[in-house]
Amino acid sequence: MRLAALALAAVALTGCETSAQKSAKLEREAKAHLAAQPVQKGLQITRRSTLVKVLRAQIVRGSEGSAAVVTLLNTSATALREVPIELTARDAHGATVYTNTAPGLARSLTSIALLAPHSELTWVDDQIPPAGAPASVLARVGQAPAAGGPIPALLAQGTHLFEDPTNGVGAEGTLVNRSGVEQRELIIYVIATRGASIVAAGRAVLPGAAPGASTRFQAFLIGDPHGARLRAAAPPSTLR
Amino acid sequence: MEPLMPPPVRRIELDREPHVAPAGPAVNGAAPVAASRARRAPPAAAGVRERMRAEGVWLAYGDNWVVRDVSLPMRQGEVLALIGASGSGKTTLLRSLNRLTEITAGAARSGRITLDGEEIHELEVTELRRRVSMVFQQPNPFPMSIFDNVAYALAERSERGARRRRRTPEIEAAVADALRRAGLFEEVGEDLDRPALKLSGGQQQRLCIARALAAEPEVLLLDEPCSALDPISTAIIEELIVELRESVAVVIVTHNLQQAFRVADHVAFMHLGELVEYGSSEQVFDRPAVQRTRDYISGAFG
Repeated sequence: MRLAALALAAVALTGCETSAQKSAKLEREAKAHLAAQPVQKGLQITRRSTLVKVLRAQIVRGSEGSAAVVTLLNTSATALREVPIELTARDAHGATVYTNTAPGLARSLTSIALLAPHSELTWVDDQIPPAGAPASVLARVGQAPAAGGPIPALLAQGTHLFEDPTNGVGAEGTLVNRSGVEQRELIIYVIATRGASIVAAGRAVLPGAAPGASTRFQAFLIGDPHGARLRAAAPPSTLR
Repeated sequence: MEPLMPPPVRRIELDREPHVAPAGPAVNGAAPVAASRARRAPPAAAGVRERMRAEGVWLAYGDNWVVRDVSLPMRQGEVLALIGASGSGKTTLLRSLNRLTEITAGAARSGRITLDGEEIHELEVTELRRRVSMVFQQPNPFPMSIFDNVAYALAERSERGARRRRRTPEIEAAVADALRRAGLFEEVGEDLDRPALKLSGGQQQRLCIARALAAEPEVLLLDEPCSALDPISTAIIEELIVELRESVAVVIVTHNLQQAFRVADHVAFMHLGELVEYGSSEQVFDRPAVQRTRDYISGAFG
C-alpha cells in the first residue's frame, strides 16, 4: 500500500503519465459524464409493422461467438426507413439470454436503415454478448416511416473470403456507390449460405462512401463460411 | 499466383536514401504539418533490424497495375508510414505484405517480398499472417470476453477449423502480456471476463492490437487504425504505435499527414502506384526532394 502510494507520488512528481494511465483517467471522466446525463431509453416497439414480414430468424454460432440473422420482406410498394427491429434470444431451455432493447445500443443494432419496396433483406446483429448460449431468436418489427424520393443505388460486389490467425474469417468486397448521395455510417450485411441454410454471418461498417466511388469493406464472420456462397447487401443509410 | 511481369529494371537504392535533400529551410506548405505537433522520440539506432523488404514489387488487379516497382525496407525499431492520395497503391502494397491482395480475383504480383530473408510466397499463408499481423480500419472484436478475444489468437485449431480455447496458466500469462503491450491491461485487467463489446472504440482497437500481438508477430500492419476513432483515442493509439516499434516492425497506412509525421520514423510517399519518395520523416516533411511530394504535403492535391 505504502509502496503503491510512493509510486503514485513519484509519477505525480515527475509529471509522467503512461498512455494506459491517461486512458484510464479519461474512461473515469467519461463514466462520470455519462452518469450525469439524463436516462437513455432503449428500443420500444409499441405497434408492429403490418408491411414487413419476418421470413426467418435464427442464431448462427461459431468459435467467434453468436450472431442473430433475420430475413425480412417488405411486402409494400413503399420504401421504409429506420425500421425498428426487436430481438429476443433464448437458450435451449427457453430462458432469455439477450434482447436489443437496452439503452445505448448503436442505431444499426436496433433498426434497419432502409427496406426497399417488395424486397428482402437479411439483417445481422453480430454483437450478441457472450453470456448464455443463445439457441433461437425471436424478431419483431415495428412500424416505420416511408422513405420519400429516389433510393440511392449501392452495390456490394466481389465478395470473397479471407482468413488470418488473429482476425478469424472475414468476407471482403467492394461497395460501389452509384448514387450522387454520400453514405455515412453504412452497414453492409454479409451472409454465407450452404443450400438453404445460413451458416455464417457478419457485417461491415463503412464510416463513409463517397458518391460514385468504390470502397473496400471487410466483414468479420461468425460461423463457418468455408465452401458456402457469400451474399452481401448494403441498404442505403443516407437518402439525400 | 504467377508473376505476370518480368522483374522491373528501375531500382531504388534504399540504404543511401536517394531522395534525401540537403539541409535547408522547410518548403512552403510543409511547415503546417511539421510544426503542428512534436514528433515522438527517434528510435535507438542500435535496436533497428530489418525484418521485411519489398524489392521491385509490382501489383496488378486484372490489367491495372496499381503498384509499380516499389522497393522498401521494413525495420523493427522503426515505424514506416505509407502515405499518398486515394488510389496511390499504398493500401494494396500494405495488404500484399501478408498476401491479402491475392484473395482478389485477377490479382498478380511480381518482384520479391521477403520476411527475414525468406520470400513470403514460400511461407505457409496462415503462418505468414501470424508473423505479419494485420489490424484493420474498424475495430473488430469478437462478441466474447476480453480474455477470449486475445486467447483466440493462441487457440489450437481442430481439423475442421474450429478453435479450442483453453484457459491454462500459460495462456493467461500470454493474454495478460499482450494486453500490457497494447497498453490495455491497466484498464481491463481486473475483469478480463467482461464482454469486449462493452469497451470504447479506442479500447476495442487496442484489444485488436493485443490480439495481433498475442500471435507474436515480427511485423505489425496497421491499415488506417485510427480513422474510426476520436482524437483522444487516436492520440493514445499513436503513443502505443511508437512504443511497439521496439519489439515489432510497424507499417502504417494513413491519410492523416500529421499522424504520419507524429508516429513515423520513415515515410514512403506513393502516387499512382509509384514510390515517389522515401526517407526519414523529417526529411520527407521538412525537405521533400521531389515536387510531387511537396505538392502533396502542402495540400495541393490528394
